[in-house]
Amino acid sequence: MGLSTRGMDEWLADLESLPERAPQAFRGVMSRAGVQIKLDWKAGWKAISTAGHIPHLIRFIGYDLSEKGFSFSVEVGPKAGTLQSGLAAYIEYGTLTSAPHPVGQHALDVELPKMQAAAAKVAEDLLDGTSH
Amino acid sequence: MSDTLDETHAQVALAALAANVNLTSSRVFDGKVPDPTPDPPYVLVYTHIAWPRDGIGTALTAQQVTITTTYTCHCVGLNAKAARAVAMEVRASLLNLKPNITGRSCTPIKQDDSQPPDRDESTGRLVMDAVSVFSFTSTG
Repeated sequence: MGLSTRGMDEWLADLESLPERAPQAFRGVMSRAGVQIKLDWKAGWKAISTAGHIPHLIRFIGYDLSEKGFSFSVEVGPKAGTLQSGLAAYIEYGTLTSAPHPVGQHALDVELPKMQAAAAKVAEDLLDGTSH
Repeated sequence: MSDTLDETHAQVALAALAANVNLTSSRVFDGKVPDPTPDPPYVLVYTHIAWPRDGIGTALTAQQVTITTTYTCHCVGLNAKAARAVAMEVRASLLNLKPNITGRSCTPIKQDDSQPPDRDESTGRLVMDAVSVFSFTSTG
């Protein structure tokens, strides 16, 4: 019975290079999540727009990725100030005479577990040195 | 129809709001404001029941077992302050309430989103409408 320290130097090198490798990897995960939520949101509102009455609102759904240090955030939604953007709240939340179509929330709920799984896989790959 | 799970989940918030002495069943509307439109304050609840397929939605047996229940509450008053007062009553009734549904394990109701009071003239009169969105998940 004994203890082997083989591979420790390599693992330490992987850990020390994490600040360089991690941001790019997680940035990709968040960006893909933002894109997917955007696409799902557009598809959902296209499906309810049977009369084609909100083409501009659908067209101007976008996403912004921002980062601060090792913190990443993605904001997805209709771009304020664009044509028909004032309708966004009425479509998403409804009015007193029109039911809501919470497509944005649904798109987030569907994507969130996938994004979490992708982030966990990226973290695993970063820690065991398989992502370079 | 072999079970009434969808309706049972929908009734969780509707019953809780109707039991609020500051709202009562006469001021809680399910999916539609009565005709003629009543005087504010009141709350209009749109209920959405879904059986998601991803994440926790599917059990190891490949059966879809999770229900997500979403309540979009339109809290209506004659002015912004009155609308906020209704929104506060709705929050007091729903936030952190743990539903008790036979055969189901439920999370507490959480608030997903809220909007500031906004003008709504769709019923033919000007009122202020503050939207709050709540949801919970159950598995079984």
